[in-house]
Amino acid sequence: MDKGMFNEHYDAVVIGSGMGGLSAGCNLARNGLKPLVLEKHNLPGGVTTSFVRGRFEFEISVQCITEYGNIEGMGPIYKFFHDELNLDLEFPKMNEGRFFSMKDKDLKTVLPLKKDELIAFINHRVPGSAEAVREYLDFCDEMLRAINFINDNDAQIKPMELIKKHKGIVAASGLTVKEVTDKFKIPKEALDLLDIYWTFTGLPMDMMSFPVYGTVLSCMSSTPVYAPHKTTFEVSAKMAEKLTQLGGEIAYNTRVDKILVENGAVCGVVTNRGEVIKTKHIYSNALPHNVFCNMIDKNDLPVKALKQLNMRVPGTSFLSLYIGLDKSHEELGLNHYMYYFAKDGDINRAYRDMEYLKPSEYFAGMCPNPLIADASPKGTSILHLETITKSSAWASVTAKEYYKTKCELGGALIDEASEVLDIPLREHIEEIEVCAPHTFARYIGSFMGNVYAYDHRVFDSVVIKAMTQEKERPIHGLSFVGNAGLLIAGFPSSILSGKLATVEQVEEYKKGGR
Amino acid sequence: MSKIKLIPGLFALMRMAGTRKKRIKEADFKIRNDIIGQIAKQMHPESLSLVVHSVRAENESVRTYRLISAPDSTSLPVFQAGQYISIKLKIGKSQTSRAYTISSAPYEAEGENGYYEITVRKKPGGLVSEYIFDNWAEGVGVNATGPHGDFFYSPLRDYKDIVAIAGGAGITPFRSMIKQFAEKEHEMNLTLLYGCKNENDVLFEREIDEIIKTHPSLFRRVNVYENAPEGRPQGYLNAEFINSNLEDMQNKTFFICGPSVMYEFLRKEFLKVGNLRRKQLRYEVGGAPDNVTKRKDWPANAECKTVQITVYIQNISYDIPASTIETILTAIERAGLLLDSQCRSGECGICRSKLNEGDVYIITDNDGRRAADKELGYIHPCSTYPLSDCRVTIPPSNPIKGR
Ligand SMILES: Cc1cc2nc3c(=O)[nH]c(=O)nc-3n(C[C@H](O)[C@H](O)[C@H](O)COP(=O)(O)OP(=O)(O)OC[C@H]3O[C@@H](n4cnc5c(N)ncnc54)[C@H](O)[C@@H]3O)c2cc1C
Ligand code: FES
Repeated sequence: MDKGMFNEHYDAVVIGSGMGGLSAGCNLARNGLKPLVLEKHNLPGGVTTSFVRGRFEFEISVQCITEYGNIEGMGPIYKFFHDELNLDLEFPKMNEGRFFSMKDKDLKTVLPLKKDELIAFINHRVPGSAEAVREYLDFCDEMLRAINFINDNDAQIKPMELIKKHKGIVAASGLTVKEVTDKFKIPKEALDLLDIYWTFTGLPMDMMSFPVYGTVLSCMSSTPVYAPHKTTFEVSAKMAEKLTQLGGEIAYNTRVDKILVENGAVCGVVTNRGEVIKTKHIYSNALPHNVFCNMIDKNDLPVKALKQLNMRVPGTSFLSLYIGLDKSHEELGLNHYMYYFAKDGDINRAYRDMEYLKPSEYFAGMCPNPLIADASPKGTSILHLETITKSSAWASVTAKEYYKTKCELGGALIDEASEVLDIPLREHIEEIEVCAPHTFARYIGSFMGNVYAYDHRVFDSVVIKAMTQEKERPIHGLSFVGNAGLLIAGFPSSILSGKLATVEQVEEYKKGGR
Repeated sequence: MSKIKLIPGLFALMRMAGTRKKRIKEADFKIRNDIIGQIAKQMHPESLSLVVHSVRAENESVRTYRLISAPDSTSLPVFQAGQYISIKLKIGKSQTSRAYTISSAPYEAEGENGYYEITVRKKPGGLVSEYIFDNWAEGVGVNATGPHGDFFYSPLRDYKDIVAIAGGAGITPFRSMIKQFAEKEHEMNLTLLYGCKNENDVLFEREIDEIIKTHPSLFRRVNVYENAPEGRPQGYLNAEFINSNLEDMQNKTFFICGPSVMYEFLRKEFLKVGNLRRKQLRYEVGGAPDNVTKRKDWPANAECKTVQITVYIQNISYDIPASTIETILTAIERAGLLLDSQCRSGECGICRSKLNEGDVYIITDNDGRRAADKELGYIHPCSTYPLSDCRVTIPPSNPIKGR
């Protein structure tokens, strides 16, 4: 390829343009540094994207946007997008509750959005639970406040300060969700109603790190929740535009094949076309597994990098269905934005079932049309169904069986949703796409097609990661952003992780060095 | 007073930090195998390295090429009957691509002796089809990507009663479907309505008849000729013909493949039939039209002239000439610049680029652009025509490998 497509040197190279990569790039460029973002796909966004089939455009991944609003006012994502990046984005706010069914209990209901209403609702079903539930949710709010505090201070916080101001998160950081809920003595039935968020977090309660789960629960019950308007591809595309306006560069169809290391520190990257680009700072939106197993010369790789990697528990992937229906949501009776389908309250069994290829009993749904009038053409609607799955379960499926397998498992979700909602969905399918771990492996190239990088086990969650981050960094100048960044998996955390990871370089630059 | 106390919490935290340390210490340092990634690569390799195994003339202007995997490469990826491959070629200084449906069946691609067949109609003055006719012979290496495309039967979406409407060389995906359904699936049935110019224009007649004879309950075929031979139906693929050959129109999926004039005609004809749901009609994309100025929405004031496009690729820019009646992609390829393409119909988005300035005409029949891209001025150059001088930012592309 022609010489001179890129500069010889950049202040930073960002591998991948998912939310983590784009926000790292934007934060560097906004502060006067020159980053180059390299993306192997021909679009920005990673899973934060959409695709078009026929007359439909489908959101791939994000159902609702949290941390845009906050308990008190606007949240960290709003501040970053509007105050710092000045992005032209507006998100509609969710104002109706979430549909929830628990099949074995014959329960079909709408869970209120707001904390007070939610507590009253649960108390009505489980009399006498209000006080315990409130205390518990208040404690969850403490987690979110602490995470916001960490973000507001760009993660530059001394442990003593955190203990002084937010001792709750410190006290809970070594605990699982179960250890915490046991203390609050919440009746099982009440807990079941709160635990529907399980479909998004993917670990049984006796393994899941509490601050992670508590933050999610607080976001969902105590803060306003928003929805992507022109799908989250709008966010990705506008961030990519902003990056170049601010003086950064982004190159599509360009895969980083190699990270160059010298004396234990990064010194550049090599692309799939053989271009060598020099830099002292690399922010990788590609997972540590991809980086350490494929991108660094074995001789440059400290043993501890691989040990630290293999210590972690690989996360989860999705079986995700994108359905374009040929009737409006009113005609079909898809009146809610979000749906949760559960069989019973046995989350541990559901977790074990993720390891097998069988129809999932826990899944979530989203129909954007009630909230976003132009989400699909007039007289049509969109339904997105998704369930989490362990990609190891798919390893035995051959390429030949793959299409049939995913259609069968996807078909089971459609039939289950049809039965619960009493809507003959199959009759109205005009377009459909079923994505499995392989699909994610193909498009984002993540290790095993995982969408959530690593399980949020207690020993691998925010506070402990923050404590050990510097000590465990195997290669100087290499940081991870996105799902494998400092925070948790998911849209808001990925954005914030990109910003946080670049803070140190920005400070250094402001002090005069590059 | 919180239920979760700080001091025991700190102990728990320290215990967990200890667990982390211990896990690291005990962990192995083997490189993990990414099995899913490997299967994904097998299904969607970056490129296909193929060799022409044999050539068969179907008639004067149509040839079928049997392609096998090059000796040093892996077996052929699985595909769905109806999908296409994108052939990558360097002709003169231009690197270009063309889509060709795999006309053989998926089961024929399996195993060590697996193959894909593509059936190419020579287009007078056509760059690639003529190149293929002139250059491809047994043993010639071929670069491609794929399989691609959404023109195939989906059990979750489509009816089991399939009506295949083919015009001319548009028979190719249906040859693949009929062979596959006959061999591997017996749930679907397919009625083929085939419109041809004359007797000579009919492709795969004997082969398809053989299959129909052995599976009379699954398949049916009716040809219609513009110039019919003795005793054969004369006429066009129109509402009346379609209606008269089907008991009713409901609960059927129509797969339609042929030239764009046929699509324009059929879209109107289907309106006459009434009550067809959009989900019943699936049109294959067909590439750029032969003469864009004949399109209904071609701007009346557009001139046929040469304009200049400034093309930006990262830090470099080029000024290239372009014709208002050729796509921006063609102008870029003529100039010897690289821009990856796949469907060349506006649908797949592979050629996504940014229009910074200039007037353009966009064919919106298969407009696969995302809403945000439309807002931000992104275009798909394979279906966009420059009406004035333009400035366009294109992504870097990768040169074709080998050969
Ligand atoms: C999904 C799909 C499936 C298809 N399946 C089949 C199939 O099974 N069989 C089949 O026969 N066809 C198929 N086609 C059509 C096929 O892809 C080609 O469009 C067709 O073969 C004509 O290509 P061509 O290069 O010969 O003509 P074109 O080159 O497209 O003709 C246009 C004109 O532009 C000029 N031109 C174009 N590019 C350049 C350039 N870079 N430099 C100089 N001059 C240029 C040519 O000289 C010519 O005059 C399919 C298309 C699609 C989209
Ligand atoms: S090549 Fe598919 S949209 Fe241009």
